[in-house]
Amino acid sequence: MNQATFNNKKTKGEVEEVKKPDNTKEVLNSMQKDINDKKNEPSLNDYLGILEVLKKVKKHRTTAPTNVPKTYLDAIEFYVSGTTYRVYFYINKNWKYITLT
Amino acid sequence: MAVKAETIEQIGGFGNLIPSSYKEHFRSSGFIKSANGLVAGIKTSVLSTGNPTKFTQSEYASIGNIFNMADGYGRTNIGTQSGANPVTYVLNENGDIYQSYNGGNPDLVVAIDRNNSHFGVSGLGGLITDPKKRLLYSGERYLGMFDPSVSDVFFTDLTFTNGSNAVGSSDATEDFTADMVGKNIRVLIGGTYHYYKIASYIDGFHITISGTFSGTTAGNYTAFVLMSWTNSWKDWGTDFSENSEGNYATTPCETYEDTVLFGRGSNITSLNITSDTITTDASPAFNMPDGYDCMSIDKGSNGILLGFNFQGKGVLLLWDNFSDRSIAPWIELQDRLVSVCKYQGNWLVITTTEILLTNGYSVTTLASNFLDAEHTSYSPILYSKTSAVVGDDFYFTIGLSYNGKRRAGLYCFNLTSKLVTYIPRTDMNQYDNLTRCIFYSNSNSSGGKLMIGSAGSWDYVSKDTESKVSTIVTNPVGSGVNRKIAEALKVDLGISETYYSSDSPFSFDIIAKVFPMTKQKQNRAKLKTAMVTNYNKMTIDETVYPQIPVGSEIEFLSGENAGYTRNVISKTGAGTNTAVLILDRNLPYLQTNTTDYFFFNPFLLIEKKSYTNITEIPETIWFDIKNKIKGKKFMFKIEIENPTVPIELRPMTFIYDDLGVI
Repeated sequence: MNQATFNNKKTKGEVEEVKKPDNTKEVLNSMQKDINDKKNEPSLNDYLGILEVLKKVKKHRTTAPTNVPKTYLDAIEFYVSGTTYRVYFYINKNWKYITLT
Repeated sequence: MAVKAETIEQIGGFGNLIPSSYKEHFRSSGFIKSANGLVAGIKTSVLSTGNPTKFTQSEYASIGNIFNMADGYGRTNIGTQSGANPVTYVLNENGDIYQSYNGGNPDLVVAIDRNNSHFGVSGLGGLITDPKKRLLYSGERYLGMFDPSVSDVFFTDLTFTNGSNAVGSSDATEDFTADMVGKNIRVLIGGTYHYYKIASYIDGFHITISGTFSGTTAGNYTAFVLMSWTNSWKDWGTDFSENSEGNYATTPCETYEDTVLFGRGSNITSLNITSDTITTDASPAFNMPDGYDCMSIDKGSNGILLGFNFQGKGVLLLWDNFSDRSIAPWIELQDRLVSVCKYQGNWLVITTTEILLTNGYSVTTLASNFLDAEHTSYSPILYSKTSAVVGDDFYFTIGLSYNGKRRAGLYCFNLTSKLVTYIPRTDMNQYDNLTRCIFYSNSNSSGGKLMIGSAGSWDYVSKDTESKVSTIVTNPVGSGVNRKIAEALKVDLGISETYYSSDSPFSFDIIAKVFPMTKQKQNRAKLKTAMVTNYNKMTIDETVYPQIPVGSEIEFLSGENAGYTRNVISKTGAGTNTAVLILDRNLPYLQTNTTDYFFFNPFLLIEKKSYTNITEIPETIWFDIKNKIKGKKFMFKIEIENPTVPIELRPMTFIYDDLGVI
């Protein structure tokens, strides 16, 4: 069908326009929610690692800690070297310890 | 019978089979999203294929097979002894490292593995820059290091003898030192650079090189001994030559605070940059059971995400660079891990069937069975960096075939629409899997650039740069189940609103095709003989390959005419070993490649329209479908061929006669 014929039919009201409803916005909002959930809203899953640690006995180390802790649990370290027993605490950007008997 | 006009708004992307998203089309190539639709304006461009006029030794003529990249610091050019300027490095399969300063044509700055086995036969070395600006390159057993703060030793008086390995210093000063053994020496010979390895130190005036010198015997050669490069800086203790499946030993790397981490199979070894001490294979920073192959190390908000494959399945685990176990339960993947990429503190993960998002504790599926993975999963590419995020776009490559939507090359997955676009190569080769690694570089003063390491070239993604042919194939259109007669296709075009250039007349061809979905969509065959003289004549052995019906579209995926399509208008010798096809118009080139397949598709040519030296896009581009093609559903194909400006494709209109329920 050439364009002139089509235009003629359209003028006479003989052309039915077919257009699907625009649900793009809803689809995109739905899809984007997955990413936003992951980025912005911590879930219980985010704390599973910490909870897992709490279920176990903390392992001692044989060298003094030097790392910068990322969590509250990381800020406490048990140290054993020979007969020396210490507990290290990360306080004010420094590792401090007390010796145990 | 009623005439209907159906709007085709499939201008979002493709590849994810989202049922409720009608903006998804079947496949496209070279189109990216724009404000009003899709713009035929993206491809990869070649930064370099090597510089054979500068590096005349045959082994350095090509840039080779690039499989790793890193931003770092280096010399502004290879004619300087010192300097720590922002550069981008690539490492090729031969152990050669090239650098590009400020996006310029790259130079080969060191040839590590010539006469050496730093990376081993199948080792894909790690490449990363540490916080001290040092480039680290982890090999089979040793960690190499380039320190830009160390100056190279410059000579102007070296004596080289053709066919000899002896090198002398002709002035009165003792120049050579024992610690030069093992270093590269770069010699300027007649305006080109040659690389040799220093094999032995004799005295302050004499050394030997590995191999023999090839050039004119003379006593005044200019040369650099590259003291800044130390191949065996640290010893991991064992040879890491292949992974547990006998494949390439890939070495992912990452910096984390004052540590640099290296994945070596089941071990994560480390370098502390404060003390320059390492953990070795025998006593690694972290290790997994035997059989686990490290594929990725990437830091994020919750720690370091380690990615491994074990017996064909991936596993992700979170670590803190301290604990001797993971700090969260492992995330077991259903498929093989292909790639991990940082994304706003989280990680995007590609497996052989899915794209996932994880925070190290839980996983969200962003795309499942994308790009027809429901039929066949992808084969993984065994390199460290095969994905990168730029803004909202996730670029990746994967083990692709030429079937259906899955052309070999680079894809971009939009994280909002979750649809992909396909970015063709400059040469439009969609058949050969040539993409090796992807890296978003920020060393260029003009801004970030997505760099592509390929087999034989170092490429980058260029937007607003039209390719030779941009193609879009719609998903089936034609509402309802009634039979219909396809009558016409109305196409609206524009020019990308972001395009800027001197205002001048432009040209392009637009080709429209239709497929009534009554038969197999594609098949393949090969040329029997190279095309000679006639640019529209192809000879096929139809006793070996299926018979190609008259009307079919021929689509070249590689070779001289890659990306171009033509339609068969007549044929002789059908079913014989010398079937001759006559095409609707000449191809740009005589196709000589008889080893690669071309597709033949049932897309029937509606019309080709050419616009030459125009200053305005025509208001309406109308394609009259004259052959009364009947069907229930139709797929359309639009090609923009040889455009001189980025053409924007807007929603189209399909006009048909609805024949009712017949």
